[in-house]
Amino acid sequence: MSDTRRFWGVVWYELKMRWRSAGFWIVVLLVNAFALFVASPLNYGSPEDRPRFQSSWWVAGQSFSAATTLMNGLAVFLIADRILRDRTLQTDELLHAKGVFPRAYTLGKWAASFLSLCLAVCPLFVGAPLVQWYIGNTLAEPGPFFLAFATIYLPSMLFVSTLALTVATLAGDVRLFYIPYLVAWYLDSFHYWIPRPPIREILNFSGATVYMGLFCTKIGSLPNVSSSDVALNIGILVLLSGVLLYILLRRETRVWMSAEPPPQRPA
Amino acid sequence: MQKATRVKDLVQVTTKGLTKIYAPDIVGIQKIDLEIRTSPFGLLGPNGAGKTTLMRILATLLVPTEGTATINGHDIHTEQAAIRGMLGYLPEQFGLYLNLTAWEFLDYLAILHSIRDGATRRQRIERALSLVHLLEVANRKLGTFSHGMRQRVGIAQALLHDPQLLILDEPTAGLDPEQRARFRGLLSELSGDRLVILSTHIVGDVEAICRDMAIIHNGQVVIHSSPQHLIEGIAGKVWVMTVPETALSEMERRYQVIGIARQEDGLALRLLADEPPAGAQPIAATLEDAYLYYGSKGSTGEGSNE
Repeated sequence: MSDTRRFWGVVWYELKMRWRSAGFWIVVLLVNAFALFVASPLNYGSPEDRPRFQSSWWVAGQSFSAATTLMNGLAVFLIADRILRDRTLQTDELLHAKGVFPRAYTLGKWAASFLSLCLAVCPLFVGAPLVQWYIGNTLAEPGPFFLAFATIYLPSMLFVSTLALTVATLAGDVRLFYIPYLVAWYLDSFHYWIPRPPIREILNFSGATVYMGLFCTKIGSLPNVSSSDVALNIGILVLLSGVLLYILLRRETRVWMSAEPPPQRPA
Repeated sequence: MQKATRVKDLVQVTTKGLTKIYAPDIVGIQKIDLEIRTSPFGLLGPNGAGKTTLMRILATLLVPTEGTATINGHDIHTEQAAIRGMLGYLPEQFGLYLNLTAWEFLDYLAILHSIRDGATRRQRIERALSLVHLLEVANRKLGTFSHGMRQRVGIAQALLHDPQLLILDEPTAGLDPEQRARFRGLLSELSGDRLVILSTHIVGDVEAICRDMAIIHNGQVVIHSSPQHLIEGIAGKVWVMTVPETALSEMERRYQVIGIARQEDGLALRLLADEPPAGAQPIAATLEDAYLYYGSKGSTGEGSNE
């Protein structure tokens, strides 16, 4: 079986586990309630106090870019959580004895985390434009906001993602998932003739995706499962440091306190 | 006891000088030489003896510091994929995804184990669940399972790809007597057509199902033989006698006291001694006696292979 097939297996069951978690839905509700509250016209005072954005294209791009970049970061946090959980509960013993490939394991968890977060914030993508439309007088050009969203951002993302997934699946190598993103990122970084602003915002998101994807892929391609897990966890903890570690510890306190050190231990 | 299976066409496990050193002062196992050809095989030893280290090395989850091990001629260091293809492994402690059903969990692991075809996967999962008598609860979430049922799910995942070699590390730990009895029956059933290696500190498990065994102590194999042979080896060395309570410390100093029971006229002691203690009566040896006898030899460096 190709690595890709295992990758999708991990993605599918990781998603299933998250959807069945009450905590996940609580987070979805809280995140969206908070975002919609912040975006509410009630928080903007009189029309004169409301912020005026330079361009509706810019607003759409920024919101999309920020949300997706944030999701990448959080996805990495979540895979750290899932890998730590596997290790703490020693589920990884079962998985490793089955010969699960580190990159399929790591990337599968990352993809499931990312998709879960997409699901978690997807109401924002519907709700935020509606709220913005409601307070349309804050936008210089309310019409193009939706036009940008509907015709540029979402189709572009779908197209690039589909292309990337097709290439990776046909080649049987999940690392190729990131190649189209890498190309787009390169073009965006060094060739300023690319039409802006909408495309540029997409590519910024792509850059974050590429960075995290390559990071995970690099880690995942190391031959030793245990070493790669350790490296990944240390890297992530260093990267996200204080706040995320605090949240993780709060969530996992009970398990962490009873956790054994990594697998190499005497009987 | 189950009929022993001389595994002629199935796998053979051979270790030579197998050593695992975690740190200069932490030695997992040292210089272990074993030939395992008879199923079921029991590896008996106290907690911390090195059983799990040995099991994890054989399961390709841990790299030895020195020595070699082969499973059917495949080196555990260089041919891990081949070994994992023939290996089913149940760790001593393992976690399940509690919000998946038993069926989903096994399907997940089957995918990871390269069982590609959906129909084949369904068939394998159904068979594995039938073997461990969990088919009727296949669609229940694992979070609702008892400890014994979770252990059986662990066995089922190890059986998914119909392995030739089944390594079970402390499979009955934490089970109640009824569950343990059921589990022993299951292991006996499974050992009919594959090599089963059972690691445990519970003498009763080995006595009930194994026909070949080794005792491991302080990271070294003290003795490798059949349970019957081990029991015969200490015939005439197990004694019982009743002593006043005040004599207990003196008896413990002079002999290896392996059992104490309070009686109306004093303490009934069960002793291990090469020469008969004064006033002691000989009694038939059990595997537990043999385990304690050879274990004490191992701790004093007097062990031997037979």
